[in-house]
Amino acid sequence: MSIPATETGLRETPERETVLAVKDLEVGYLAKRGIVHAVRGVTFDLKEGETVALIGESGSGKTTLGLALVRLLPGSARVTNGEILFYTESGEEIPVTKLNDEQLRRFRWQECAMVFQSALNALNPVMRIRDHFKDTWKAHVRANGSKGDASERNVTARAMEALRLVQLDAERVMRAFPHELSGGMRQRVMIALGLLLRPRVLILDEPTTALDVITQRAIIEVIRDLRKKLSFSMIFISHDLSLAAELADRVVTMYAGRVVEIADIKDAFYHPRHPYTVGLLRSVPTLVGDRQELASIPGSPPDMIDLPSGCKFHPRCPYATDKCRMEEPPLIEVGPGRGSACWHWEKVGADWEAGTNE
Amino acid sequence: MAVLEQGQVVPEPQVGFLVIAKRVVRNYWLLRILRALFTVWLVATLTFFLIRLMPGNPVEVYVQNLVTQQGVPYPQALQLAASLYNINLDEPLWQQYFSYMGAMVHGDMGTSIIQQGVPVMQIVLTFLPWTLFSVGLGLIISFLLGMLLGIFAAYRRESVFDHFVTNFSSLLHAIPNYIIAILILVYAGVQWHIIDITAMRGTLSPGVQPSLSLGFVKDALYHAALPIATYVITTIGGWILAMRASTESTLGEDYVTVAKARGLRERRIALAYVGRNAALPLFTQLTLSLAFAVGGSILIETIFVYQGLGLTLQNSINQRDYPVMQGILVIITAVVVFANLIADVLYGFIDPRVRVQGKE
Amino acid sequence: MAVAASAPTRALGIVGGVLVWCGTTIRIMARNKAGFIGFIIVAVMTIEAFIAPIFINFNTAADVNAIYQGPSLHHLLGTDSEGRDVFTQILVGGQDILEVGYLASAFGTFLAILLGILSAYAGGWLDTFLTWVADVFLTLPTFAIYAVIAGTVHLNSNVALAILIAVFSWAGLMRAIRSQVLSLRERDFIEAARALDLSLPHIIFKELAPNMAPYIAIHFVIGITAAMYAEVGLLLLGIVPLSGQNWGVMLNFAWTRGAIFYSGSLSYILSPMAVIVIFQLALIVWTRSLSEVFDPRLRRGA
Repeated sequence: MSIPATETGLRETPERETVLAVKDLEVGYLAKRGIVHAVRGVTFDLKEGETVALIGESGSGKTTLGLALVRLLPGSARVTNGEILFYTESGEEIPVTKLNDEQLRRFRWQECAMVFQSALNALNPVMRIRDHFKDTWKAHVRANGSKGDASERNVTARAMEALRLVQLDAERVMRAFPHELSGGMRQRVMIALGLLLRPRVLILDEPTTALDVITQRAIIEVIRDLRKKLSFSMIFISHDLSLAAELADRVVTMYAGRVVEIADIKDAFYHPRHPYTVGLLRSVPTLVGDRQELASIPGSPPDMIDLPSGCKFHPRCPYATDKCRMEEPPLIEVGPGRGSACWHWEKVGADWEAGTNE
Repeated sequence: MAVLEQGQVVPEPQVGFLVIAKRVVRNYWLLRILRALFTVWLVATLTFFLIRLMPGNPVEVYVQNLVTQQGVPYPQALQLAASLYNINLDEPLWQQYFSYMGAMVHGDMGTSIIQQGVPVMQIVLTFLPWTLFSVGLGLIISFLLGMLLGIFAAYRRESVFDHFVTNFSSLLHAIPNYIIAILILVYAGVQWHIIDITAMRGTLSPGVQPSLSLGFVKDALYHAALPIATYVITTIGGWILAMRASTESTLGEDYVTVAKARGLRERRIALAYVGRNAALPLFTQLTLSLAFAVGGSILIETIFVYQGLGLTLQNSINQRDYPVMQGILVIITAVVVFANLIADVLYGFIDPRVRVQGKE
Repeated sequence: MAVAASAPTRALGIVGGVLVWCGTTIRIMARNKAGFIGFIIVAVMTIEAFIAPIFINFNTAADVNAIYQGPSLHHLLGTDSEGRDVFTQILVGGQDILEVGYLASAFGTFLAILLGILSAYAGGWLDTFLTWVADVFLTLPTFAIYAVIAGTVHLNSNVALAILIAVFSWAGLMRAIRSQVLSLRERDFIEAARALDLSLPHIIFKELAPNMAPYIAIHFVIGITAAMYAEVGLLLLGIVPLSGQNWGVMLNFAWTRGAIFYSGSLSYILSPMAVIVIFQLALIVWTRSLSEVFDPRLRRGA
């Protein structure tokens, strides 16, 4: 099965603490036709101050994984196996999957905030932005007095500071209702709201997909800027490799609910060892240098209820052999701190290097 | 503003934006007020022509009766009719119409035929408060209680409570209000003797005078209890079903999920995020409910012998007291229309989006 | 020859088609049990109400020895204040009520369709004006208006009463149809029809009508309940002429002749109310299943 991050030593900076560890996580949805195996045995970890990008097509399980991290899965979903461990600044271990309702409520946003892809509808339409900040503050600060007092002035000051960090006109935005702000401004507000309690981890689930290209750029710039100023760890969920390249330290590629490749950002881009990652790279125009032809991956993502046998990627894979059709490959260590779930990773790598050196 | 995003219409603060917004709002409210006045005008005009123009209309019948049965000379009969209906029958029709409307604008709606010489306006003002009180209180109780039960049903979907409440609501929704009223009389009053229906008739017990005392309020509530109960029972089913459906769709909204992710307390989410947004569409339905309940008050007040405007209207119809009928109908319409206007203003406070764009 | 031969064949084909369509509709409806029961009740009560007066001759003669009797084998639902059989009155008393209900709803629906399509297609000031008028009509206290009009003008026929009710009950459906037409107009198949230069009637009857059928059918059924409410209410108050025998007149007699306040007359009071409520409930339950019949997506989901 998957190799635990610690065994492979996926990151070469041992001095960095682990903030979040996901171990062999499995999530299924109950559907009429059967069980949708959305996440199947995912293992990875997140270090302090690090940004990990979760990459995959829609339906690869990346959003389900993101929701599972803060236990916001819809009612039809079940975590059937594995655990999610979160480590606070004081080194305390929080088993997210085992929290009771009140513990979970406190954990959310205070330790781990999440910005969703639905930027336009994430804010309560009948409340001013100011009240969103107040609500969030009150829900947590009163619960444990350690993070500051709940006085009106304190909340306002913290909220204004957060809004300025995302480069908004704080005075005006505080007074505004959501519908008075543009989509990009609303997403910035959400990011500011996410930073209000200074969580250790910020999850961004396709934060720019609902926005136009220019606004997307601005949001990415804001996030980069924040990464420089504040020290939080980040999980960036996207289907867009080029966006991931701008923000991430490490890339976790997912396919059919499974991690198929884990690599440093540079390795992932310049030395991929999994045919699916290769396919993704080939479908991105700008980042592959002077490669002329642009190829999308043939076929479509698998039926998540009735999965193919063996390696789930084999029906779309040019390297597929009988072994692939019979046996699902584990995450094989293919280098220091990186893994690939492909029987033919060496051939894939060799072909890729040959191709780029032409 | 620190960052301006291209391709987005970002309203400039203060200058253009507010001016335009204000203009739109002013225009919107102007339109709403115009429509309210138009509605009252329509009903006033309708009743004028109904009474003046229809074949065998009351004025004609009245004059003919005076001439044939009481031997009153025709010109004198005309004059009597004219004073009663507040119209000058010698004038051409359009002039009659304008003087009728002009008098109505000044609050003069003629005098009653049955209670000779009593101004219609006085009769209306005597009975209007009781109808407003009973219908208004009934609707408010029903609206609030219905929303509460609807939210509960939506939160406990597929539970025993939910099934019971939704089925019961559908049942209540299908029963006409006068049947509920009669059932209350028959069972609570006659078969089981729980309540003393004869004592509950009227709007106040003999000897009780309107005042700001607890005794008066209690007595007023005692007499209004059956009409109010009927309004609540017959309208609550609709509110429950509407609120349940609305809550269900609101629960799927992103801002609710995000509120959970933000670690807000469940009660805060239920009230400020789910409840408040789910209630919005119901406020627009309040309009229709109000018109329906006020229109139906004639039936409910008649059945319970509650001396409000509805019962007065029924009596005036039975006694062919046309000026009173006319006056009550116009006032009832005005009340409904202006209550709607107030509801719209209030809606603007609850939903900030309306303040700028208007409702549609 | 060829034409003569094909005419009956074609007629047969049409009849067959209609039968198949009816069969399919009924089969789909049968899937929703409650809705189907509602439909059966509505159908049986309607047929009964119109057929019963032909066969049953209601004996109006009073029988002073049998006043307010309870239910018995001889009088299934007891007797009224003049000793007459209640069950017979219930059987023959539905015709007026249902006639006005169906007619008023049909007129109102027709008016709504006409004005809705006109408004959506005309656009401009006419559209603004018509929606404005519809909004005005939606806020009128209609029952009070019915009462005043019926109290002023003598409405001595079911058709007249149905027209009165219809005139004040088109606004809701009209607005729904208007917005339906407006949104359907934006869709591709209407665009295509227009690009092919098909005539307006073709677009309305071949393209729009099938899409609006669910709305119309459901509003029609709900319209029946609303019209029945108004009609029985007017009868109860004695504002419309109390001629003949019907459920509303029975309620009025129960009220004016004091049966409500007499504990022995329970079956007389409850009978007309029960049939009215049963019919209304059946209609409402049936409408719920109707949306399923018309919406294939709902059908599969169920």
